[in-house]
Amino acid sequence: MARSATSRTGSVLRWGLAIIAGLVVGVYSAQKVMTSPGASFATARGGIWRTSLDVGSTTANPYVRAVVARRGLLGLSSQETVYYNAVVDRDGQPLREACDYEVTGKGLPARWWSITLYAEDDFLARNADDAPSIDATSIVAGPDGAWKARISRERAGAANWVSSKAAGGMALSLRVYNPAPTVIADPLSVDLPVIRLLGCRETSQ
Amino acid sequence: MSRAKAWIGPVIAALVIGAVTHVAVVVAAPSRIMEKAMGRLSGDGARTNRWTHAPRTSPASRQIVRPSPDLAYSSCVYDLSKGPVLITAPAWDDYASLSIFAANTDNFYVVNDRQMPPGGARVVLVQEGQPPPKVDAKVVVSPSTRGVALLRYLAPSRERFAAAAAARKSAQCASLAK
Repeated sequence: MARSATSRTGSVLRWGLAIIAGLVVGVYSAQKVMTSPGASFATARGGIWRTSLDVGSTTANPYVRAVVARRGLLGLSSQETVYYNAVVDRDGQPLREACDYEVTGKGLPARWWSITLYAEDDFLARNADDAPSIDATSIVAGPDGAWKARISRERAGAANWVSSKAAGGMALSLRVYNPAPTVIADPLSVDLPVIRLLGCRETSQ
Repeated sequence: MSRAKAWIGPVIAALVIGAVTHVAVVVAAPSRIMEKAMGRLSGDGARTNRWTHAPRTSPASRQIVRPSPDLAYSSCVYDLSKGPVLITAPAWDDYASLSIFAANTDNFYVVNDRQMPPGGARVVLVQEGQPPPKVDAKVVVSPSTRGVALLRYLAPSRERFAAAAAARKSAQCASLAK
């Protein structure tokens, strides 16, 4: 009798544990794939930029859909806009507020483009610099259309500047509005801007 | 039953429950996130079927992730349960778009300034099977009863934002239910 009761208790415990473990692992792993810094809806990645043509798409798979909902809610479908995201520089090092960067680029085959800096929480960095982005309408470019922009906590005399003050770990979002068919056909074949590390100030972090 | 054998059933159950839970959470995420966003954009439903014009994007703009500081946004959380909703977007002299999103985040309709008639976009949103009302507007079927319409007006500077803010004032988002 005693033995059978013990085995029943053991069985209840095992099944109870199995159910709890299953739920915990299921919820945790789902949150993890949707929220980890590497969580990206990208299905295409170049050196720096990642993108997906599935934003807002009615055919996107559940993972793409989930991460888009978290990271790019209300994003337009790719016929209208292609969104690229960068969290690393050209050497693959994570973008950080403590470092200064230079972004170089040329015009893009689209009606309008912009590059915006987002803080870790996917909102504009909490600073009063009023320099959260550069865009096709205001970029100061050379006669050949080539431009360079500084990404840093200070402008330091740069013609084009995006402030990274109070950004922490950060991401750059490149929006390409009304892209040419070539962009939609192969978004990474486009000559995309390059992000180069200028230097870091470890002490000031 | 040996100790190890007694665990076989529970371990398999844990794996199955884990996998099912994982998929369920991922599949449900967009609608859950969208539901929360619709609540924020509409003041928990107080501003349904009307445009809310967001101020110029700043670090304080925290309703929707990754807002562009170069665009003037307006949003309308629509609800078709009582009848069709008329949505209009006034013309703008630069990039502008009216996009409509279903409750599961799908961008099921978008029209930009170059595709709009000269006076701007006029859309009447209906549910599947709902007879479209007799209004001079493009009929668009929404896959969900509720969703979000968004206006984007390219306005990268303070001056352009002020102009866009004036242009979008006449935008309509209104229930046609009698």
